[in-house]
Amino acid sequence: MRVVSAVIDPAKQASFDEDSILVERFLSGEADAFETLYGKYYDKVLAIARGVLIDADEAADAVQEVFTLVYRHLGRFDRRSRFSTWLFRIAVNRSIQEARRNRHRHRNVELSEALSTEAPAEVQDLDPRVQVALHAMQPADRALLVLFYWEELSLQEIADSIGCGVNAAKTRLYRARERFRTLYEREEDES
Amino acid sequence: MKERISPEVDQLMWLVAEDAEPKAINDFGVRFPDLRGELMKRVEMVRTLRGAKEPGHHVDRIPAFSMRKAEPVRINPRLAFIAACCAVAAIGLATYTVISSSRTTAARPPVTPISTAMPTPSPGVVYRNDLPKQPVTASPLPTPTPEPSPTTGLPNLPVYLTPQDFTFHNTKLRLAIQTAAMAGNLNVEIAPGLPDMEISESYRQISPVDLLRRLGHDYGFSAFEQESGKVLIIPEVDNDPKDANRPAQTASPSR
Repeated sequence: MRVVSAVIDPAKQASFDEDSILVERFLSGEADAFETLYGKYYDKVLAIARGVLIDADEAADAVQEVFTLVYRHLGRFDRRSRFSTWLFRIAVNRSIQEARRNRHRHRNVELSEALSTEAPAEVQDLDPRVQVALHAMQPADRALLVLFYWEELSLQEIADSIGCGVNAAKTRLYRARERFRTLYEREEDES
Repeated sequence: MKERISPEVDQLMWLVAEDAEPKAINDFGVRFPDLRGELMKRVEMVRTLRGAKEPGHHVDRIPAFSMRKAEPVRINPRLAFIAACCAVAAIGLATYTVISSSRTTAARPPVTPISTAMPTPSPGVVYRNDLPKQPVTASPLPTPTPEPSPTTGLPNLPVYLTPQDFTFHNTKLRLAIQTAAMAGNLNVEIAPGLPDMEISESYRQISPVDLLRRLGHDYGFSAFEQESGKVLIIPEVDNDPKDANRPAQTASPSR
């Protein structure tokens, strides 16, 4: 149902047209057009980055990197597709890449730091069961859940964002949801 | 409990849990009363997961875009080590392959050269080294690599080395030489002064080259093998009338 609704959603169609105009304007030399795109999609990219990276500071840092990539490579964007899909794809890939790098880095911190239970304020706001379950998941699985449950993208949009087919996206989303449920229920039982 | 749920019902339950419409939840509970508890757990989980987006999600003030500098290419030391190992292994394999193939080539049996040894010298016979004016070449007849015959398994000899039967009956010596040359696909050049006697002889299983040598041995000439299948016939004794050692014009071999 969501796939169909996304296709015929007039709001999304209008946004698609608006984004295309902004991209055209930026490519023709108007720097303000990029600022508009940045302001329009900052929240969504930050949400994806936060969902994948968990840490708010790392997520904010990742957002700047994502938009830097977009700024540099907007000329390569295939304007037949949605700008938002292309942007989310970059955001997902960059966040996953950053999460893997950070995981490697976090392994090397001292044990005393790792055992510190004090979490950043933003993270503390998360439901502890969700926080623990998301932490235990792979970044790619977290990205799927974020795109589906937080950004409420359709399966087609998720497939485009992670670079696979709709059926593959559906399967991967199902598996990610099952992993989350297992971890979530385990945490629930323990608490 | 999860094991009892069929995939279709499981999928339906997720759809109901994600939509979270009270009527759909109620209908599902009526239809699957045993799964009502499981459904409610999923509804709660989805609600919690969706709700986790809210804190800190909305940004009051969007920070200004700051362009990041291009990151230098960072080489993962582990990947670099693996790549180096692969490169060393590839070089080692290539070296081994080259060496083993060259050893195989060296181990092959050498091609047996065609014997160019002259027959045992007989008294009065003039051989190559005694003829300074003749264009002596060190190269024997072409020696193609013998290949096994598909039928016999024996090497396929060139025609001038293939044993054949020859029978001459009152045949001129020149004609006998030409016959041997034709049989061996050889080009024969006969120097002046060769006695043209008639011969009657039969040779069994002898190659054309050996036949020429044999005829030379028997009838007083030397067969010099040149390049490109050419054979030079030189009389052993000058047939000049002034020569006192003129051989007898007989049809019998000098053996």
